[in-house]
Amino acid sequence: MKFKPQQPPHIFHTDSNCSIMGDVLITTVCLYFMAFYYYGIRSLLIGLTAVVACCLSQMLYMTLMGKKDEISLRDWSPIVTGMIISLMLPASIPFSAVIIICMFAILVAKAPFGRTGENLFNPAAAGIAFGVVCWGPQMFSYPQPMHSLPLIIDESVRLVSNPSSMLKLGGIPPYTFSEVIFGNVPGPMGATNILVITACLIFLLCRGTVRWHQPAAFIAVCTVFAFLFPRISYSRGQSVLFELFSGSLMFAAVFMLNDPVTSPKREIGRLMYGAAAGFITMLARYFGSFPQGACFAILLVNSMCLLFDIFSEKIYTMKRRELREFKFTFGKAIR
Amino acid sequence: MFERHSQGVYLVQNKEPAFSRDILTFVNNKIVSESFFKAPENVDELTADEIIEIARTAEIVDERDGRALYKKLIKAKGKFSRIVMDAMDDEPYVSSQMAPMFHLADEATGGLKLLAKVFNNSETVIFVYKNLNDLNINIPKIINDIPVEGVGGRYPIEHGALLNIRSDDLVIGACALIHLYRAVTQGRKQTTCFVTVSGDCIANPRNLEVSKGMSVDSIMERCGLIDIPQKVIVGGPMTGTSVIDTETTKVTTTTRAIIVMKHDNKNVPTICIGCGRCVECCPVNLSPMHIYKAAKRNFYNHLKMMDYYKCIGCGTCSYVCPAKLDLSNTIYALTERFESNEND
Repeated sequence: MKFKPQQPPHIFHTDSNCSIMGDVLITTVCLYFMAFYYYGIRSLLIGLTAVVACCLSQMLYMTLMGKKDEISLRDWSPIVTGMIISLMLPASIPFSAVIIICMFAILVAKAPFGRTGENLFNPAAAGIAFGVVCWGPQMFSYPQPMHSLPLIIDESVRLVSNPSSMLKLGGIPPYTFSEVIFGNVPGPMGATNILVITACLIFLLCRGTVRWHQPAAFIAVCTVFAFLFPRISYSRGQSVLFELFSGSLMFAAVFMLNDPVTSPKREIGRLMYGAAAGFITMLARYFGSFPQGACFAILLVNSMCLLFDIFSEKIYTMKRRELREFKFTFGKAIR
Repeated sequence: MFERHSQGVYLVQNKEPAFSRDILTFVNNKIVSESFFKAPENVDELTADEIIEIARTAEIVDERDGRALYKKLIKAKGKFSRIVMDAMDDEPYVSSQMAPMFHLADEATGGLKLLAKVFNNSETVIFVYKNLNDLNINIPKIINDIPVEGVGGRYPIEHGALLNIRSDDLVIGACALIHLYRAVTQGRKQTTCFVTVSGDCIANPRNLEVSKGMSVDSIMERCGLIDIPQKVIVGGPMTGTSVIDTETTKVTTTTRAIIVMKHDNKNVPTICIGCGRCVECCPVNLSPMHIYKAAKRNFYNHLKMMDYYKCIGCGTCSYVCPAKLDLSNTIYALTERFESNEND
C-alpha cells in the first residue's frame, strides 16, 4: 500500500475557528431572545440588518480587492461582528444608521488590515464608537422596555435616557437591584440583561473560548474605581452596582474585550490589558463627554496590545534563558 | 506553580484493547535460533564490566532514544544513584512499554534488579503513566519489590520538560531491560522489539513482539484490517512519521507503534485568529504563533528574541491550533535551517 506523506501530529483537537466563532454566536442568540422579549420584532430586524450589512460589505471589499478565494464567509467572523454591533445599539435606532455603522466596522476597521485575524482594532468597538460620534442623540436615547416598538420610529415612541446618562448628570437612577439585574431598564438592546450576559460569560469560560484574565482584571479595576470614587453620594455599594451594571460595561467585558484577535496572548499581558481597559473606561465615564466609554477604552487598549505582548514576551525570554536582569528594549523589538 | 498547570494538553488515551491483551510473539524463528551466544554460567557473580560486555554482545538498544545500552552504561557508570525504568507511554494508542512491563513483569524487574545490584546497589523505581482514566486499570504500588511511581499530567511528559527527573538518574526503557535479562539468563541477542499495532482500521489491536527488519505490511496483515486505511504511522500519533510505502518500511528497534488510521484529517489550514492556545500549552514557554508568523516573513531578529531553537518538536501547538496550522513542523525545521547557517 502506498500513501501520501503527512506531517505530524496525526490527531487534532476538535476545536476549530468555526467552533470558536460558533460559541460566541450561540451566546449572542440568547441575548436576542431577551431583546425580542423586551422590544418586540424590531430588535430582530435590526440584528438581521446588521448581519446582512456586515456580510455584504465583507464580500464587497474582497470582490473589489480581487481576493476571490476569501469571499466565502467560512469563518463566520462578519456574522459575529454584526451580532455584537446590533446588540450594542438601542432598539429605536434608524435602520440607515445600523447599515452605515456596520459598513464602517467592516470596510474601515477590519478589511483593510488584511484577512481575518490581522485587524488591529476590534471592528465592533470601532463601529460603535463611530455611531456614538455620528448619531449621538439617537444612540443615547432608549425606548422603555416591555413596550413593543413599531417598525418606524415616530414621535409617539417615548424615549428616555439610560442610568449611565443619569450618573453622568449626577443623579441617582430610580431603579431597584432586581430591575437592573434582569435588564428591565432602558438601555442598549442586549447590554442590559446582566444575568444573561453573566451566563454567557460562564458558558464561554467553560468551553475554553475565552480566558478569565481579561474580564476579571477589567471588572476588578472598575469595581475598585467605583468603590473608591463614587459619583452617587448615597452609598458606595449603590455606586458599584450602577457603575458596573448600567450601560454597556458588562457586555463590552464579555464580548469585546475577549476578542481573540486583538487581545494579548500571555497571561501577564492579558491581566495588564484588562486592567488598562478598565481604568480607561472609568476615566472616560468620569471625564469624557459620553455616558459610556467602554468601546473607546477598548479601541485605545487595542492599540497597546502589541506593547503588552512584547512586555510579557520579554519576561518569558528572561525566564527561558534564566537571566536575572530584565531588559525592556522597545525600539529593537518593534523594528 | 500556576503556569505549570497551563502547559501541555490532555489527550484521550485510546490504549484499549491493545494494552490489556497478552503479548503475542510474531518472530522469524530462523533469526532467533541463530542469535544465541554463550550465556554466563553464574549470574549472581557478574560484575559491572561483564554486564556491559553482555549488553554489547547482545546488541541491545534502548528504545527510548535509540542509543546502544552499553554506551549509556559506560557513560553513566559511577555517576548515578537511581535507576529509573521508563514505562511511560504518554501518546495515545501506544502501550509498547507499559504492556511488556505488566505482562512480562518478571523479566523486566529481573533486568532492573540485575543492573541495580552490580551498580553499587542503587535505588530503583518504575515510572508509569497514570492518567488512564478511560481504562479500568489499577496500577499497583509495588511490582516484585520495586516501587512504582505514577507519572501524571499533560501530554509531553516523556520529553523531560514536565517531568522531574533528577540529574543523577539513569533512565532505561522497559523493553531494553527485558532484553538485557534475556541476554544474561538465556544468552539471546536482541532480535525482537515490542510494537503496538492499533488504530481505527486494525481488527485485532495488540502488542506484538516482532523480529527486527519485518515489513510494516506483514505486521498489518498479522493483526488484520477491517477497512481501507488512509494513513499508516510509525511511532505515536503526535510525533510519528507517516509511511509512504508499507512494503519497504521495516521495523527497527526504536519502532514503538504502528498505527493505521481510517479517517484522513480533512483539517485544511485556515487563518490564525490569534487565540493564543499554542502559547498557553507550549511546554517550554515559547510562543509558537509569533515564531510562525516571523518565520513566514523571514524576520530573523524576531526569531532570535523568541528562542525558537528551544523547540522540542512535541507537536502540542499543532494539536491545539484551531486554525490547523502546521506550527510545530515549521518551528522545528527552523532549528535545523538556522543552525546550519550559523555554523558556516
